Amino acid sequence: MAQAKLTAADLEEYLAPLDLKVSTNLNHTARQSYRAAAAVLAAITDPGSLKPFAGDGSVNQSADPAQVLGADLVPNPAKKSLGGSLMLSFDIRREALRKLGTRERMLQALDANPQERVGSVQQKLEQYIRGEALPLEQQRGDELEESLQAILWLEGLGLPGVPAAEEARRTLARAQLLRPFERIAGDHFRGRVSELDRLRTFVGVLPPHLTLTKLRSAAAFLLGIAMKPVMSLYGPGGIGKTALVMRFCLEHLRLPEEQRVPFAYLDFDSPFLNINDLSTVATEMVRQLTIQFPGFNTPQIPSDPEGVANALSEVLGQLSVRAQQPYLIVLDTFEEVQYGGESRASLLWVMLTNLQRSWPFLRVLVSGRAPVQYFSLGGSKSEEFELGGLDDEAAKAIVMSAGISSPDVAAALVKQVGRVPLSLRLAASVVQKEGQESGKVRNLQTSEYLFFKISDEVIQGQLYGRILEHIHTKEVARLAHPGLVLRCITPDVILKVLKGPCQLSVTSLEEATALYQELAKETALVAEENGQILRHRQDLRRTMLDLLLEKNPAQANEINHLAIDYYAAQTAPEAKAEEIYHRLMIGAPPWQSIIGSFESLLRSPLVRASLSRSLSELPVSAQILLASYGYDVDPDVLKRATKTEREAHIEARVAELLRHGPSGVPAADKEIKTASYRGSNSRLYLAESRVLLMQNRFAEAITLVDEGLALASSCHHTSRIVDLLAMKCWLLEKSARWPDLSEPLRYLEDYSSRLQRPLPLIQVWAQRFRLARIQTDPVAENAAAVQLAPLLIAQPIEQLASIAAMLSVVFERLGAIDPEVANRAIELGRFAPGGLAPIEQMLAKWPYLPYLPIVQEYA
Amino acid sequence: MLTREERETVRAELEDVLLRTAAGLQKQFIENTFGNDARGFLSEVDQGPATARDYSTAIVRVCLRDRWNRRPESWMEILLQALIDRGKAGLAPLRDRVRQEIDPNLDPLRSSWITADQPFFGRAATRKLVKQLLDTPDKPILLVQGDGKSGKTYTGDWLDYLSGEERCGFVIIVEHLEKGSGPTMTADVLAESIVDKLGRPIPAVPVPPEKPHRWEKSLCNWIIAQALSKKQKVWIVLDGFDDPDLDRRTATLIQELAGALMSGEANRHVRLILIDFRSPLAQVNNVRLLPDKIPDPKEVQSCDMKDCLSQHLSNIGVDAEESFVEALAAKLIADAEQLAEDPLYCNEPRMKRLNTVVYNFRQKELARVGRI
Repeated sequence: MAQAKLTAADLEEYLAPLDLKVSTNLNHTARQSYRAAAAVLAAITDPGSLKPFAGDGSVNQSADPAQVLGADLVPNPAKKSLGGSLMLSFDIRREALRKLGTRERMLQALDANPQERVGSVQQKLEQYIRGEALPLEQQRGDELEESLQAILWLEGLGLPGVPAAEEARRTLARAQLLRPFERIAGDHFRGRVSELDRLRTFVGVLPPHLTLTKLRSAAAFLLGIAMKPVMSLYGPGGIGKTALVMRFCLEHLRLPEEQRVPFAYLDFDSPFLNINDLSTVATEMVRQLTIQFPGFNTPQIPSDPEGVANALSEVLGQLSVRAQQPYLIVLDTFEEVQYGGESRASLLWVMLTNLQRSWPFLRVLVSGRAPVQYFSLGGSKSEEFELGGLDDEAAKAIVMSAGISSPDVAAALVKQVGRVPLSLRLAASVVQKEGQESGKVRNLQTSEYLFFKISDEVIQGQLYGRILEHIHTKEVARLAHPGLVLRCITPDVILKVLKGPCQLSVTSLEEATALYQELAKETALVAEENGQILRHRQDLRRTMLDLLLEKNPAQANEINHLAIDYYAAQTAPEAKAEEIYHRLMIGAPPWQSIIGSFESLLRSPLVRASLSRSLSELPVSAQILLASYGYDVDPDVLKRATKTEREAHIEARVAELLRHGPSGVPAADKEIKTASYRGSNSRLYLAESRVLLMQNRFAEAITLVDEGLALASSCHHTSRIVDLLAMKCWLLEKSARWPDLSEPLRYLEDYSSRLQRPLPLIQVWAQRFRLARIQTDPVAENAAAVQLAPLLIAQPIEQLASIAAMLSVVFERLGAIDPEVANRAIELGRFAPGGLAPIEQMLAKWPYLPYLPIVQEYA
Repeated sequence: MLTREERETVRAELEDVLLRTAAGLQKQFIENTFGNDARGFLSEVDQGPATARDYSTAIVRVCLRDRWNRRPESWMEILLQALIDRGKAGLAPLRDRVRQEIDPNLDPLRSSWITADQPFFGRAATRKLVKQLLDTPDKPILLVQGDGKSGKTYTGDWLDYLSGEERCGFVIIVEHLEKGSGPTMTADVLAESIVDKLGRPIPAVPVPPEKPHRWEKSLCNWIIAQALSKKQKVWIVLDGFDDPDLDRRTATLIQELAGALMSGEANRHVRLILIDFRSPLAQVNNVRLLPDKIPDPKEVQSCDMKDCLSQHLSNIGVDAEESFVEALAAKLIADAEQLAEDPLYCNEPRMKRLNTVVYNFRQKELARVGRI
């Protein structure tokens, strides 16, 4: 017979044989004395030999102190700095120290366990207990970290000489802010005298170094309160932009507080900054200000752009009272933003422009590899400042930072190879590998026919060749040359792509990994990143790729083809970027073979940033192709494009700028005005009408669209006609010209049916649906709904996403009666991460622009 | 993904297909089936001459380990399809179930506490999120937040338990920063500790280079490289690292780590769980996060404990009505409240007292049935 199930009535009987009392058998007195002993020790290496401290001379030694302390002991996460592997938990330690109460008793407790008093944090703790610690401002950065740790334990216990934790935090934060400035641009910084002067004049504060500029600067200072345009400092990687701006900031950091120019140094290489989220930028600005001006009243930084702007306005308001100095914002490593498209900064530009209108003392310095394009501050175009070749001192500093310790050798190398950073670094690497001769690289040809200097590229080519010669393993040398036709190398790539063309004998992944690790040691050529990926050094690649392609064209071609096959089989966006790169290198269609859409891949932020870094490596035709997707190519390259290609470029740029909402409109307006030609099939009518639509200039937009329609119709460019008709219909609706809508909708329906373009057809029925509602015509409304339902169900979700705004009312109505349509709405919500709400929120801020792929901004 | 029996069936069918493949072409079959990623499979058996059995065992193991991380088709689905194409039509229902992402096994996320000997009350949402973290790469970061003393740290212990090969099969690194220890937890100390716990050698910690952030970047790369060298997925749990006194460079390293998981191989292979971390992650869009809010410990009631106790009773073979479980839960909650008057436990958080009482009950029960 099956046993009956237990019920609530059986509980007492069930539990009767069990003694559920939790054991609490512990010696409380012993525990207190062990706590007292452990409280004055930063960490404990051997808890078994710990001696208790009772304070009354008694020693109540336990056989197992760790058991007595139990959960009071916690693992020490920082063994390296604290010594032992265990420590007293923070609250218990504070309580035990409070009970010890006086310096004398703490010192006595220390004497109980001399064997555990090791490590720098322990020393610092003892210094504070004894009252012998140096004042905070006299301590070094790493000492300050230890001091803060000791102070956190001792603060508020009444020990004389223990500063407040807040004071220690402030001092430490200032030291941490100063640390990279001192390291990069400290007292070892040399040269760049005139460049620093130019920056000083721009900001208008510290007396300039050169007498000649003093007068100009005095005038600048008097006028200092006036608005100034942005200064765009640019130059190639490694030329010393960061060192220059850091030196400039450091000069101000070192001044007494009343003379300090407040600044924010924002490095877009920092993981704390995200150009798509202005709150990250504002948070960092405020953090730095609080360090520079202790006691600064920090506002809360909200996450929405408007709130961020208000918070920063409050900050500048406070500064205007406090500092009476300009406020400098430095945006460094700006190329990180530019690689993904400068338009991403448009919200930041708008915010800074508005701030400067209220607070004219705002100064903005942007530093990157290319000048800023769209940013105008104070109503003027940016002041461009190209950072040219190094002076002797700066050049020597580069050589020395590359590992040459002798100043004489550094000076000789500068004299021998010139002042180009890449040449200097390569020369330093060669000297380290093969030694020097009178401070120079042996047998390096730097001039032809006695006095004609040969080009930097040729010098770099020789130096590069020498580095390759010094690779001891032939296979690794072949991996580097021609293997570095690839931008990145992994063990798998060695096995699957490079094995043949580089004549490698590897047969397994393990052997490939070993070879990979050998190549990783050649730090002059490659850098390891994010796991097992070696990347060809960017500055070196630009110069060396031509050499590679010239010397081994067949092998390079084979590598490109194999790389395409290799990456084509993968789906990750990083792999797609590599596939596209190699296709562009050899001009290898068909693009259809790329999984997913080529166009959307080119627009994806990851692929764009990846290709933008290598743009100048690609053939001109490829660069022009990318320009038509809005990529920033060299103006000289663009000059070689056809008119149609240039139009495509402008259209793509406008579309990209408009995707960022109203903040992109001024730049888009400027961009569209650069077009000088419009043919019958021009894309620019549509682009410009979008700009006008964003400015609510509907009538002008309609006139423009009509002009475009007339031209396109005369030449039967039907696809263009559909685009323009769709825009016209939307413009008519936006300007509430409902009676004028029927006819263009009929044309749009006719053309889009003939061309089998479903999206415009959906637009037709969605607009008819709304028109019927306005006109309170339920029959027409139903008719439109009946037409729409199958279209919505059949359409791929990612395409529907581009017209999501137009559909929300439709979904609301149709979703209630047709479950399949309701499902589509749900899917659409899923497709757009975060659901439809962010899209709708975004669209509420500016008008819908037909067929701009808005959703990818969120992906 | 598959039951133990199904796993053996698939392995045997694969072995059969391989045996019927001409000698020397077995590797080719694997390469054809799994494309470029075949290396992951082959590296498991490429140490020496491999038999069809070696290959089949390794392939099934790798497919199971990857679960549903590969999109759009999982490796298991690809394998099953390849076997069906080779005449193993009986595997079609299995393929269909795998395609629907249905796991027939007892959900380790739900039942784990029994064998872990540690109760894990409520937290239904946490279990769901952890499952998502396990199966998909689109949201690689889990933020576990809750009120003070709500047992957030305990989540780390639970994950540690889950990582066992027999359960979820991932490597977990738990770094707990004790309150008030922020200043001495430097970036290199954290990086070394993670790499050490990964069981990787520490030849040289990257040294600080010239530019700011680059050191933290290289430390991050180092950690990721070491994590990628593990065959299993790696979960890094950072507990208590939102300390306002945390060394700035350590904070930078955490931001770098979070950003690094947004793409590339790390996105597929590494997960980051941040316990009680409220600072924004600048490189991570909100939609790439799995936020988990742990309920207030004061709100844990007998109903939250019922699931846990039912599993215990079932585990020791006791058949009980719901009313019994409810009464038992109420009794244990009352015992925990009483414990608050004990000098040893009066300063302990409520969640810890609840855990202590339930753990004590479980131990006594196991002793009663002769398990310990």
